[in-house]
Amino acid sequence: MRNILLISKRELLSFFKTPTAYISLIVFILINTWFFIMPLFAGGTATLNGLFNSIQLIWLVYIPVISMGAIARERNTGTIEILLTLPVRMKEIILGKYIYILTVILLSLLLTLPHFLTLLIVGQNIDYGVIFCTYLGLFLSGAVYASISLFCSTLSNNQITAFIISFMICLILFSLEYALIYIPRFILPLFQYLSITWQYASLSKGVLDSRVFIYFFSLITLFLFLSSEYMNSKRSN
Amino acid sequence: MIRIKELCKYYGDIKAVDGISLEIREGEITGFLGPNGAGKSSTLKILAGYNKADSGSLSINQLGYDSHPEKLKQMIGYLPELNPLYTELSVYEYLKFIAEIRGITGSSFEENLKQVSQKCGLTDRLSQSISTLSKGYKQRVGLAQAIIHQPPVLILDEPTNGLDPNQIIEIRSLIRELGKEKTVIISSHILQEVQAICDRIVIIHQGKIVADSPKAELLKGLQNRQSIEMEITRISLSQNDLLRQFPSLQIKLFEIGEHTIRISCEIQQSNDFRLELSKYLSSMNATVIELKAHTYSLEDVFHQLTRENRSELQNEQTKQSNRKKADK
Repeated sequence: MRNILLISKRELLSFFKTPTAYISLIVFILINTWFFIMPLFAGGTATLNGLFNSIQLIWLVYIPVISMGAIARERNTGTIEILLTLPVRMKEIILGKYIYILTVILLSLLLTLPHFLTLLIVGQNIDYGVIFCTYLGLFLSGAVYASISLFCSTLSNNQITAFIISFMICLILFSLEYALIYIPRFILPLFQYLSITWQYASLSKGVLDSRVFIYFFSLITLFLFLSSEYMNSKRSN
Repeated sequence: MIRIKELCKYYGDIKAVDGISLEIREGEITGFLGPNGAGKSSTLKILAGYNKADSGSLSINQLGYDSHPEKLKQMIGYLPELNPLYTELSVYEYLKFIAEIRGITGSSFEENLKQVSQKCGLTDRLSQSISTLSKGYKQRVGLAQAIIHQPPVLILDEPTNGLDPNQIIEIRSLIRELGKEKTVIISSHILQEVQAICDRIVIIHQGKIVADSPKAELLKGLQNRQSIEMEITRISLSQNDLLRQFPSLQIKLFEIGEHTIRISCEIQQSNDFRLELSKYLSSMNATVIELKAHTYSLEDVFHQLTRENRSELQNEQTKQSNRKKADK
């Protein structure tokens, strides 16, 4: 556990020493603020729905961007050689990188706290349960995208390639919901279950269903496992 | 201390390391010498635990990577060929990260850092960002990273690559100093470097060890070998006269011109052959117009070994292609 935390700490330290960190966080908050302010001033409604919807979409680009360098950059600069000759296991490296991405996701969600506080001040009939579950849904779907992006980052030395592949996979998982109408009725439940938007929607209704958690955790585990296995196989080649 | 047995490594169809076996004693500075692409770095990468060998075994103090990977890595300090660094961090942050992962924290880290930064001349650069350091200083950071946990074994892959002459001298003397208390393996394609630093030289070519002996021994075989090129005034002298006088002489060239004779020859003996030869020639009433003597260096051993192997390989390839043609 110590090694995992040390690796994520180093990664965060490096992240906040680059302009990419500040640019992505600022862009993230500006877009979200726009979607919060619009209904507030134009329609006179204080709601977090616009903000939640925009984050859902932003995740598709934002998470691949912050994760693309996790492994690809280490491979490109050669620092992976230092990392792999330190007394750490491959699993610890992958989990360390993953915790770094989760921390950035959490921090980004924390940046929407002022919006939530504004809602508390000006809003009425606030359903705290739904808001909590929606935040949880956003965090979990972000965590799934993070594990996919981390896996894609192990595939290439090139960060842009890693970004494109992870964006494509996340987009497919996200847009599966909109393809459901073309799916034959007998396999519809399966595709519905696979769609991340569908899972997120059921969570954001405020219902804590164990099947939803199984979906998120199994996808996260799968991609983290694939990342670690792929890196190990690369090492022996 | 280090025992390598029949180590093999393939990259696709290419055999980068081809059955290397080696034993390195404690406190020895061993130099892996070979042309680019000889398999030096691949061997070092396996030793450092970055790559896995396809076959063969490797142990340091009876510990292997299969059974004790973490313990083994803890015993090794490794400086990769291109000296990769997290350039956005400061020297202090980088060394702290490496030390913490290696289990050195708190006061023992501060103590090690003090020693290491003094040794590597980094004391006044600790707070500086690595990206702003010169190449020589970056190399020092790479070395500091490799010794921060005071490992008994140090593996340095082309440690002076790309440095200017002054920096090369500094890094070499640093390595020599480290070699007093550690087992050091360095790789290089620069002959003078290996000659200057190492106690033992292992010449690697096409993934195989083609020579392995203490530096002095490697040179000994060639030290008494003398090669002489000369031009003398024309007298009645034949190759046989020379051979009769010096039976062990190997004549490579004996060219009788209009006014002069050109001779190129080699002999293996401890006495200065130039003296004997010129005495003999003057007794024959010849005047020496030009005399060039050549003493052999490590460079010659290197050229000879790698060239011989290359021609062997070429012969084999021609044989194979001839066989293929015959089959058709």
